[in-house]
Amino acid sequence: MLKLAALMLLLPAVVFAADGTALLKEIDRNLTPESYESYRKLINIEPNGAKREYTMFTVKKGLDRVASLFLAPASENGRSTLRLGENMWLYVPGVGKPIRITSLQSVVGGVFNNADILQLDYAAEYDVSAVDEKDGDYVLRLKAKTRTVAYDKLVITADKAGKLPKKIECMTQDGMLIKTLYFKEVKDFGGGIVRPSVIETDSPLYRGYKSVMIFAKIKKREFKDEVFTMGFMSRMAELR
Amino acid sequence: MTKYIKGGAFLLCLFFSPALFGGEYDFDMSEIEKKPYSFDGSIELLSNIYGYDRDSAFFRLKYPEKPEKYDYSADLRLNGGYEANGFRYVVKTSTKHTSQPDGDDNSEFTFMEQYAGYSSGNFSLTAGKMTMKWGKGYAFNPAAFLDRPKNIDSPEDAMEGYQLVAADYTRSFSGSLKTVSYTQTAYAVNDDMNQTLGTDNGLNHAGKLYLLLNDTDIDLMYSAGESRGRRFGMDFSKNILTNLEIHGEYAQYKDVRRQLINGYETTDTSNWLIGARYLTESDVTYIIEYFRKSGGYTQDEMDRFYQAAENAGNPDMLANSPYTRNNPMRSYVYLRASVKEPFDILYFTPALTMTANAEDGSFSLAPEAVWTGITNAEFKLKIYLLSGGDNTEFGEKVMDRRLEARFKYYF
Repeated sequence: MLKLAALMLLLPAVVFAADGTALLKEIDRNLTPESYESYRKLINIEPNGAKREYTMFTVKKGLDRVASLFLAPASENGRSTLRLGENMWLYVPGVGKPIRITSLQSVVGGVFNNADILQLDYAAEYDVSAVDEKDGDYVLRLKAKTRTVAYDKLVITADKAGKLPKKIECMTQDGMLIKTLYFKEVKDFGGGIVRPSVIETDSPLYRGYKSVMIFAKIKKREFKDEVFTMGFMSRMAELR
Repeated sequence: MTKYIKGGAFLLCLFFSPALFGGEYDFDMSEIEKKPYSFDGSIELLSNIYGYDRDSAFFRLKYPEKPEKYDYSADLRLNGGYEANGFRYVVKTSTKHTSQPDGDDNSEFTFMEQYAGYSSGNFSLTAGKMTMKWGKGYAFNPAAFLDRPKNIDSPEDAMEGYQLVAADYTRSFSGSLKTVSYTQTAYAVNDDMNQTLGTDNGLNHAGKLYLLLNDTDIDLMYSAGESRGRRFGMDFSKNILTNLEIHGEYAQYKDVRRQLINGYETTDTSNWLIGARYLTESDVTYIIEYFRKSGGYTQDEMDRFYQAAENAGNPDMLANSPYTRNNPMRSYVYLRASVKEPFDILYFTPALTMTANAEDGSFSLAPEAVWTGITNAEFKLKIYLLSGGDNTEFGEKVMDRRLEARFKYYF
């Protein structure tokens, strides 16, 4: 009898988590197809207003394979990054061989780190611990599945109608805010992809700095698995 | 007149309208237009000011006459490429001009790499002059069987390749084994090519098996043929935490010809290294490596060399011997700490690099400052300070200090 009572008490939480997981997966799919290509511009904005821009071509396959090729500026041209789950590498044409990088490093400086630039599906890295509603938005509280994920906790505020994020707060295990991502300027990219075209971020750790990611030409595309291997990093331009 | 002013105002409004610029942030589509050919490069201006240790063994051997106090050089790197339908052609050149105050100028043109390749699906075939860059070490690479020795003062510099033919096959899987890749190479050593890849003319081959197993990079490599003894190697690299990477490398060399003061000996040797890269919360990146090579010279052997240098009847023979090359002994520690934008100084990265001989206690300490505040430009100032007593590696180097000023612009 006691077991039954406990089960009944736990049941709403289990159902809630299941709904939350389904909602998170829906948000992931609304942001990008599972496999796609896109172009991005990253802008690091300094407190005095000066900017530094990077242009990248990005491809993703499935839940945990993503790779990017730097196209500009000239000093970064030909560099590529690869992520397979929690494994990340950076290829620099001059150096000639891919080296392992970690998620908290940043290959472009500014507020975005490697985990932000090589973003996987949120559902691949996080479990949903709670879902609330506030001011007509969903508020999803996420907990990292493993210790190797860059941010231990995320709070996603998502538009209820479009099921697209408006704001994501990234936190440490102790709940300290590391950075906030703001999703802006919803745009129709074609092929049924309607999503924010701009992500702004700021961080209490980098006061006065702002980094911006602008998306263009997001489209569904299938790739061979071998595209996401270290040996292919020097040949990523072939995919464009 | 008013009509023209109104018309002009309308055109200005239209020109600066957000609709034309596509919102707060602009993304010019012409930036991402793909062309089958590519062209880029860099120009590097470098100046060195030398502080000689006139009592050192290496100074007596290499500079019997008055040495120059400084020099300067310009290195123009031009890279071109063509890529279409799986076919690609790549050429990378270096045109370097070095000047010294006495007017002793030198110009050199080098094809750093020049190769053609074809890839289809999982398979690729490449032929020409190229770098392979095997191994996982940052400062040392004992398993880089097909590459020139790294410049330990600047390990990330682009290197000149060798003439090779290389075939590569890659497969991906799901599960703990995610990737398997095999690279097979073949190369000749003769009077016209690859002379530093072996002592005897002949045909050679080398291969590397790569595995991504349990989130760990693992390489197994070999080299064999008519020009030098067989070699076997392995390496690994793994991310332990979100801010910690560890790596290691091991290589075994068969029939290595070791030059000694009084002749040569042939022996088997093995080299290995273990290292880590760690990023702290305050954005300091540490790279540390311990490098051990059994074929390096012992302290007794180096002592005999220093004695011979003291009484050198034939300084050229000793000056060009392996005793005077970088890291001739058995145990080294490499430590590099770099800080990203300290004190809120944008685009400023100071670093401190130490290379220490773990046997004789001598070391090189090199503080540096890099500023990249102008897009595509890099300014670097580095000072090398060498320290060690008599009969120690860094104590007997030609210089005990050097100032290096470097400017690089990419285009």
